[in-house]
Amino acid sequence: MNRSPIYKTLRVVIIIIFLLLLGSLIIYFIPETFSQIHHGNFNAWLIMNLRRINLVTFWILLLIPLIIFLAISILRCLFTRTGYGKKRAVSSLFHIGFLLAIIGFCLDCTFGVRGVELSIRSGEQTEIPGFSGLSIKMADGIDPVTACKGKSGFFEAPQAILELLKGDRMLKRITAGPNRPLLYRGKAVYLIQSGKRWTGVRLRIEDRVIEIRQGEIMPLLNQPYKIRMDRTVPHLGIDKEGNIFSQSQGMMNPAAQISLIPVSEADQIMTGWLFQKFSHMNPLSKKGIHVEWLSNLMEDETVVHFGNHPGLGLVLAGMFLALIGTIFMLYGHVIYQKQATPLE
Amino acid sequence: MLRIAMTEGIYSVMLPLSLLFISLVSSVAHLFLKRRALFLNRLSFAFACLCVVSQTITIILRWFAGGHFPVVGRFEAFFFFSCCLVAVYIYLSCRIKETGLGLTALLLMGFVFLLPCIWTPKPVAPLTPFLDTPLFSLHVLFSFFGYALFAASACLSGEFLAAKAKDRFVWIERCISLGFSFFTFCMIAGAIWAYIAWESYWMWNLKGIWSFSLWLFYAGLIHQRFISVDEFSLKRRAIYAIAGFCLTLFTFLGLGLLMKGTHRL
Repeated sequence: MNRSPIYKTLRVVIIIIFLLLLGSLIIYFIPETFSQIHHGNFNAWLIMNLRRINLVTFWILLLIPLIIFLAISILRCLFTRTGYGKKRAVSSLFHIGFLLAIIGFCLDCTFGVRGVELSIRSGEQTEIPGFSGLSIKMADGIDPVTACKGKSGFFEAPQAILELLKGDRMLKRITAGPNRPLLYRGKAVYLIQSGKRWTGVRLRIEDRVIEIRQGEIMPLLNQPYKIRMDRTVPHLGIDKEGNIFSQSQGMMNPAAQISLIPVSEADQIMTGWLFQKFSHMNPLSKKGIHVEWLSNLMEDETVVHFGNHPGLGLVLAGMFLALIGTIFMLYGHVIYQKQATPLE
Repeated sequence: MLRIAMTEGIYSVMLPLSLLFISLVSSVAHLFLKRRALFLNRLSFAFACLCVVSQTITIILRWFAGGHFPVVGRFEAFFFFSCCLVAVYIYLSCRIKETGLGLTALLLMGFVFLLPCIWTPKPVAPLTPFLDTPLFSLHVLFSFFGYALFAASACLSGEFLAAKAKDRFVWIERCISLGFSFFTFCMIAGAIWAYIAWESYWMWNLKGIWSFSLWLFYAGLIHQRFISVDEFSLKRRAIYAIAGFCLTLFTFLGLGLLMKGTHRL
């Protein structure tokens, strides 16, 4: 009986298991002392990007040749032991599927792009960086309040209607949500969050109503100033050093930082805070301008991130083949009965 | 009233536990009493069937109540795993002519996993959006049946080592092969789910590493049968099957109970 390739495979399997388990326990119990094998690096190297060789540690370097040797050994076993016979095609199917999935995974790790994040608003269309002319659009249609209740009513379930476009042509349109990304030819758009975001304020300045959003500059009628909104804070908080920050994303105590920009360049820009709850306290009152905070401007906003997975097709095809192989193996009792149970 | 009692109440555990206890006692008695062996064996089988029926009713009721396959949280995980163990016992009892120590041990294991459910909180837990997918249900379903089959292989291996019952070896191999196939389904369902939920087929966290090691271990064990089969290697394979189940237990329980991680059980 030709026993060398499989025999070596088994030895390698045992060594790899031992190293993996030992490494996982070391990482868990003493991550600081063994910071060079911190799981973050391990993740980054194995999943995020195979090209980031600087993250590789001695422990991982030891594993890689072993895994490569295991793959070669499996290939040798596949051809020396199973051949091309009809009965053995089933186990070949499983192994080929498994290898295809691994090749696809390596392709993804090496040439794929992960985690480019973008924020888009309702009805907005934006080009996806690095996706050769593809753009994404968030369509209207889902009431975010209803969507956020989720199926069970307990957890937030972000949902948004996303359209993938090439120029003006729509390639795909789905209602994206958790466990439901937009997939198109190895490219994926994942929904991170979706909901209402506070973008600006509706103000009455003297007898005129204006809508101003973050970053916008508006002229003030009959006044030698323009007004600019610099920053919005939905839940006002002040730390020990007196810095203003937002305690949460809830609209508990909204405040907006505004600047009065004089039309004449001789005067200085004046910056201050407007508070919804205390609208009489504002930088404009010093100039004798009456301001009233009328309401908040809310807009639907969705955060998505993109991934390019060139190996996705191979991975899925490999998994499918492996599944088919496994199902046949379940029914192919004859194969393993004859090989595995000589005492029977 | 009965529906609530069977879904979240104490009856959801006490009824299957009592049935399983009778089945276990009959099975133990069957080992020692040769005179009424057939009757006791049938009694044990019948009560095990009743236990699985009552557990299945509870699982279905909880499924309807929660709107998802009930394998979230410690109670549901233990309850379902116990159900899988008893189901595997029933399957093997149907297929193996003479039941013995191994299957009794499997029944005992089912009882041991059902027992803590008495003290575990039982309300139907909601599902987070990321778990709300059929792939999650498939992942858990296949993994638990895989674990149960690995448990069966370990129990039969124990019997093989203790009583030199060579006829058990066919079933050790079948349980390992079937368990490995189920565990492979579980890994594939989990990988596809992880990809569509988190953009990553695999996460090298503690659970991921141990699950991969477990899969690799049983893959190695299955391939080992191609080397040579003699008296010594059969014994060694039986020891490996028991060691594999210890690895399974730690991957399933040890990591969830002793160490912190996102993958609770």
